[in-house]
Amino acid sequence: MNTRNLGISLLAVIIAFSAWWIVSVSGAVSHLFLPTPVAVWKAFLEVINEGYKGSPLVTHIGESLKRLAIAFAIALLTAIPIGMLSGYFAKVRAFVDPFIEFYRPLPPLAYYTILVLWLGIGDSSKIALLALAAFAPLYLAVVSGVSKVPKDRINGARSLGAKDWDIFVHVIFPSTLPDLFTGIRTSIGMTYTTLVAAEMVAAVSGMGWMVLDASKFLRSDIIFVGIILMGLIAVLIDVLIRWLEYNRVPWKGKE
Amino acid sequence: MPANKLRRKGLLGILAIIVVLSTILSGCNSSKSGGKDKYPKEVTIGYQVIPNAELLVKTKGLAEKKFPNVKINWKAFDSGRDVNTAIAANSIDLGLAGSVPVAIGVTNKLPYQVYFLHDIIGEAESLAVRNSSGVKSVKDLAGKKVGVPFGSTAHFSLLSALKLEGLDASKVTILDLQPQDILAAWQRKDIDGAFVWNPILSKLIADDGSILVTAQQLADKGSITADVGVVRTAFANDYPNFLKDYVSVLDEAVKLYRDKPEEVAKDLAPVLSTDEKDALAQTKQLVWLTSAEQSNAKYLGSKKSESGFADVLLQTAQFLVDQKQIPSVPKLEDFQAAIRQEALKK
Repeated sequence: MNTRNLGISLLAVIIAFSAWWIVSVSGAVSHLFLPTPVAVWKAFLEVINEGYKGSPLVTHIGESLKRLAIAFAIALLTAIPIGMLSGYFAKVRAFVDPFIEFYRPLPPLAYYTILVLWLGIGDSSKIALLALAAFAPLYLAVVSGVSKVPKDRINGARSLGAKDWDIFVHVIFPSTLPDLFTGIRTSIGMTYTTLVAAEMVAAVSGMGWMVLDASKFLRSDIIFVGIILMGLIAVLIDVLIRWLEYNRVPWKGKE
Repeated sequence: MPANKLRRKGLLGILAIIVVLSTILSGCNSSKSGGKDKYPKEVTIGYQVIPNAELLVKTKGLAEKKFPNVKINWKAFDSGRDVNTAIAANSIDLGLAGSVPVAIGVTNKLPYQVYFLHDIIGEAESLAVRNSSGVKSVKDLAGKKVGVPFGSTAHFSLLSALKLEGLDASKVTILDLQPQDILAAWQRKDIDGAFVWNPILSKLIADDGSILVTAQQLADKGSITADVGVVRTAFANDYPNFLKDYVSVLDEAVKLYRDKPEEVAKDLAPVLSTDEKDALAQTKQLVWLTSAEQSNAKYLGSKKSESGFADVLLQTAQFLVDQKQIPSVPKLEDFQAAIRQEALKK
């Protein structure tokens, strides 16, 4: 880790924080737009101690992470095999692509009511929305990963006597790992940004819902708490994936 | 992977926040100024599709007729929450929001005042329950699922209804649903009841629903809800004549409705995406008042100290505090200061 750059980052955060502090405390801006750091800290302690609207903060975070995790697991289990097949067999890709290309740019809120009609107001529609958001970037990354595998590598394995299945498991899959990890990171990001939308309907828990509900009552302090928490958790998730990537795909970028 | 890249991302995020905030702040300073007697060049009105006088004014182009030299921008809103945000961001001059969002707005010192009551919510908002759910009274709702848009007048009415019947709100599963999602959940039988407004309400009734409690019945017991016209205080100070004349246009619309309700229903039907008969029924479920009637002490009053509506807002805010929706309530005087009577006919 480069400590000199770490210092610059820390400095930037301190400057931003001080600017926030000075501007909000000076009274130049309404606290509705920019609550003071103290007010945000108090709101944080309030949700820690009393929870928010009947559920403790841990429940809100846990519910959101649970939805994210299930949705992401579904995306992993579907996007990786379908993406591998699409990357390997052009005909499969021709079959799957139109659907992916069609739904991928759609704003989630546009089709959310349909999902609610199909799957109900419980967790299934929320998870489906998140899984759809996670699927497309992951699928595309896997497809591009497979199509990038050098032909020589496959032919080399074949000439050594490997069967199709062996090639798939021992050559293609590991070769796509670098792209897969990039896909996972984009995909988690997409899923995370859909979280608030997913918790718009019939939720009474979750970080996204907390921020939405607070906005209905103009509780800027709670909104800040929610956003800061969501941001920190997102950074933690990203760090975790990078750590996994570093451990699992040490050859990335060195081929 | 170099860790500094990650940090740089964080730095970018902070920069983005600063840019957004400074945009908001610069927006606040751009308030228009002009002569006290003149009309503004441009007015932005945030309306909602509710069968009341303002929708009639918009549909018939009455304001454009009255102010030929003013550019009138109509902006549609789905909820009072968004109207509050728009006022806070200085994006609209006049707006329509329910009494609950307005109580929240005044509590948060939004720079706006109430200048007109677009309608008193009578039977237009009601608690509908599915006939097959076996709910015959409010008390039967214990253990059932009820949908309502949180932070709306309907939310306030639902909680008031539970309180009046002595049923603890925690015994009912109250879900935060927007009107269109209420309809979806209802059709899937995911919910047993919903406190909601038209046109969704009438669709629930048509689909095996019946009405348990109306906002009218709650108003008779003291829990009044209304759709409120709010104006940015700075705009009202700059253009008092415009506000006064706009109120007279609203009065004209109320008179039109009282003289020829069928014709008004015919005009409003396409805007409400319904037929003429249903549009007439919907207008009848709301109470339309002229500005002269509103200057009654029961409503906006003629003096700050006698406005009954300030009490309504205070009670609403107090109720929201009891429900832990907002942290604290300002004094009655703050609500009285948020009522602007000048534009009303006396």
